[in-house]
Amino acid sequence: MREKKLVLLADDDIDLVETMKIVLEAEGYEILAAYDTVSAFNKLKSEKPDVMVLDVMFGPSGKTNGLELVSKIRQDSSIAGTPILMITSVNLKLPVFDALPEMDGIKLPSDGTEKAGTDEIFTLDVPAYLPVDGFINKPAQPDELAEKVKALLAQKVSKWAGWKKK
Amino acid sequence: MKMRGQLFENMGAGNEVDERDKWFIDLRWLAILGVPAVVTVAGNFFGEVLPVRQLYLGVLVLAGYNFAFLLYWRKLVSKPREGRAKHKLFSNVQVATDLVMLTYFLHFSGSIENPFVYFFIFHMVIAGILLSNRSAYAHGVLVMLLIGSTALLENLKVLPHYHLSGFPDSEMIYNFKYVFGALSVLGSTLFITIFMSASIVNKLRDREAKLAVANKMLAEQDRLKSQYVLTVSHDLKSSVSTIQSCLKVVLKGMTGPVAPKTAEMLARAEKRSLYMLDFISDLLNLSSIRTDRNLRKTLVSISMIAERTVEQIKHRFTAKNLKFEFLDNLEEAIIYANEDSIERVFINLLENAVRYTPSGGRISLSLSNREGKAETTIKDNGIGISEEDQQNLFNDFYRAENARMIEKDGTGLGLSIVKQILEAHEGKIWFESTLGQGSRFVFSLPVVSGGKEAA
Repeated sequence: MREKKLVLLADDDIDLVETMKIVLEAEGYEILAAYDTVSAFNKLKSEKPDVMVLDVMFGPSGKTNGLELVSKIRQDSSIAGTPILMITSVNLKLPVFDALPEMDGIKLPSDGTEKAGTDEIFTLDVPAYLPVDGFINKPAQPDELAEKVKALLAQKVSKWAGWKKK
Repeated sequence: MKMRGQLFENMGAGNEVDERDKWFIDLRWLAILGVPAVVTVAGNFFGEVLPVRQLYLGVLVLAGYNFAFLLYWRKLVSKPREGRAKHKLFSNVQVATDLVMLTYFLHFSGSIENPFVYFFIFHMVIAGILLSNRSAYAHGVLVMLLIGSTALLENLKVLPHYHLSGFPDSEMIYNFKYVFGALSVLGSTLFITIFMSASIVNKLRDREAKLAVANKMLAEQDRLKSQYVLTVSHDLKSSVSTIQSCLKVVLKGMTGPVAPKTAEMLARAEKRSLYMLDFISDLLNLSSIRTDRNLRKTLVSISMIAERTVEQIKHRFTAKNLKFEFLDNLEEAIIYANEDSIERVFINLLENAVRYTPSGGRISLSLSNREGKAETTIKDNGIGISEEDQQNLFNDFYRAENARMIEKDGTGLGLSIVKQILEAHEGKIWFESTLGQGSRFVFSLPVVSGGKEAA
């Protein structure tokens, strides 16, 4: 058992990671950082952090690689239970039809997939179907970040642990 | 995007084929009325020579198979997923059956001597335009085989010839030269007809295909534009929001104690970064409304949006000790709108009212139905707008002079956004204001259903 809780910060914005690190270290957590999807996944597997804070737009600008990573994590049984707090700067309620094709494996409601290609899909409330445990909007406020990480640590296991790719 | 395009393409083709087959059937009813009329008139002219009975029998057969075709067509249409091959075959069968039928009628009315033989041209035009080039030429060959063999067999006296005397005078059918010549002229006329109608249609189809490609390119450009807006929003916003987060952490003392003067300067920077975030959001809102006129709309209750906005902004009324009144005389009027955008309209107008009304003032929000429009009125007894400022109020970046005195930071885009959103919803906005006494903004939106009319 680790003495301190371990939080993985996965964001390609180094400055933001440093800032979040200060906030969370002040809360008494140990911090691990990953600046790209590959190392985020590897650190997740080797270090088994208690919570992961993940950026939606992780990687090249305009790409929503964070969503793909979520799907990959949930399908790997050794880390599928990691609670994930997702950082967003895009409005996920009405987004981003550009993001949807990359949400391969993200479970959409059955009527949504049926009507793919019509307007219906654009009005989906995406967050309700993303297998993550919480959201935090940019700019991340220190108190809010600390509070949400604390809640996920108390939760211990992601509510999406048994999530299967459709 | 791609899937949507394909969907419509398939639908279009399906409808065209459905309509084509139905059109054939409708036209045939006309022929079923026309043929007996011609037979009756001709019967009076030619007397006993014309085998009227066989001709009427032909009309019955025509009506019979047209009815069968109609039933089959209904079956085909009821199963839209049936392949296009079935539709194509059906069209070809219809045309071929008609060719046989016309040959039948001609055989009993003088065959190649009958000028009605040129009615085959109509079939060739239709085949050239509506069927594939190959089928059209095949139907031409079929005509020549049918009428050619009929004429030749009559010429050889294998089949009886029904001569309509005086139409032409002598029985030309037994003159081989005449039969050969008449068939050659008919044949060349038919094939030239097919060729001409098919080439015109090919050109049209070509143009249609090019238009489809152009359309697809436009859709792709549209997508790229949205992608661009998304990328810019991400890049601009993420930098500024990171700056904001950094400053916040320092200000909170998480990196060690901060001297009061330093804290004050950092607080200024933090406030400006927040303002810049608002500004970027406003700019993006405005440009996305302008570039994307196709806001995704649904049926929503305007009262519900109003209530939700009031709930969101209520704390600001109390913070500034403003008296707020909400009067809903609409009772569930439904509008067809983009919910988020209309919420933005309410927020911007209410925020302005809060901002520019001194504490202790009054603000009211009321909804009513006036001649099928939902009218929303936001009234305050704040600082008002000078006549000079009133003219420019809805311009991008414009801020009234007294507004700038009260609040230095402001994008000057709030009312532009409001106006753009309302225009995208066939709505309108207007206002009355007196400097130092207050303002009254009214916007109206078309009501789809519900909503009590104002007394």
